[in-house]
Amino acid sequence: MELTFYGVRGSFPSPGRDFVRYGGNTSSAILRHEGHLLLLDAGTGIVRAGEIEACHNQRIDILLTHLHMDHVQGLGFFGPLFHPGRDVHIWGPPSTTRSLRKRLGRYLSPPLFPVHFNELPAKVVCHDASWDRWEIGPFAVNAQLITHPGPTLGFRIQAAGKVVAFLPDHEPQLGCKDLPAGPWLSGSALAQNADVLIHDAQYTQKEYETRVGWGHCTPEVALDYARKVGAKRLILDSHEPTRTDAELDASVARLTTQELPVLAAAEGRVYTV
Amino acid sequence: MQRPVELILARQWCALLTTPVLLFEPDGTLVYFNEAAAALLGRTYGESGGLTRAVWQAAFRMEDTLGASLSQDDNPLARALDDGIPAQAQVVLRGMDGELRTLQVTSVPLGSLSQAKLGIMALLHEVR
Repeated sequence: MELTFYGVRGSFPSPGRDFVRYGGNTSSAILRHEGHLLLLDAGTGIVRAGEIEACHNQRIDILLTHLHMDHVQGLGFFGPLFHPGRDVHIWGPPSTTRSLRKRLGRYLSPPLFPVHFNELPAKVVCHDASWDRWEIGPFAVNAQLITHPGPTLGFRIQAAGKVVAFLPDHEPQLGCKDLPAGPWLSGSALAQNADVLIHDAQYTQKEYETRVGWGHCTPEVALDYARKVGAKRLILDSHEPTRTDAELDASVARLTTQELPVLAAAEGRVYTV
Repeated sequence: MQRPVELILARQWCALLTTPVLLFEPDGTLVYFNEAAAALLGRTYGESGGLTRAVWQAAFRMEDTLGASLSQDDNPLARALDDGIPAQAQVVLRGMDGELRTLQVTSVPLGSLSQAKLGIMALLHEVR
């Protein structure tokens, strides 16, 4: 299984020379196995992902962790949606009141967007994510709600005996002095023993102190979380948009330990799982 | 086995309250109670851990104000757990420390996005 990031920022895109190496697009990644693609989130990075990778597949599956703008903003500019004959399946958090299509349609319609959802040339099918494991091609997917404002999913994706856990926006420490034990740890069933844990690391400790409850955590909490769930590799994600390449380098250097490799997600970099 | 995030958040919220609160899973297991509730139950959560329904029913007995055992219909915990109905009653509870306390018990069934039956939350108020 191969993992490629196309967007690694939280909140909003960050263009500029200080952000070139890690990249400035918002949340988007692709898992690739046996010729199948699974897209994770649809931030601005998915636009480039569509240009490079996804245009060749007739069926495209996108897992959305949640519907905050930094995770869906690229959807309206995702090339395959404008190709007749493409089947685009979008999986996102359920709601008790409105279908996923209606909720996404609030963005994909005027005045926020010039084209109505139902005018897109591709065949778009929206699915509420199941609480039971389901399969997309060679990928087995589990979804659960995790701690973040509004219904927000984390995903556990398995293929070829390897596990990737995707929790890009997560505040597991909310209301705790220390991270709790397994049964009381948000997302732990998803991240347990993952070969790769992709986890929120947006804030510094100082930033977090004034943003408690905003749904994000620090690289230090992400590392503690990775240890608690037994992850084998941690990739820090959803970087604060103002965080420069040099600052991210320093953060990774500070956290990396022998028993648990730590990386910061970087656009275009390919990771073999 | 990880608990649903709705229950995790409920516990974290309850832990910060001075209102006595108990959280139960749908099968009746008492999975958490906060420090304020511990003062009324006579033991801390740290000491007791989670308690199955059979264990907590034996550990802290609830009676009506005349000393009679509570029927299913009069037991606010049973009404919320078994019938899915919010319920309130004044009861006399013998805590795990052996003390008798008169309490108003208010139980509310909880449903959530991922589980129609998440469990119940019970709020206690000591009547002095």
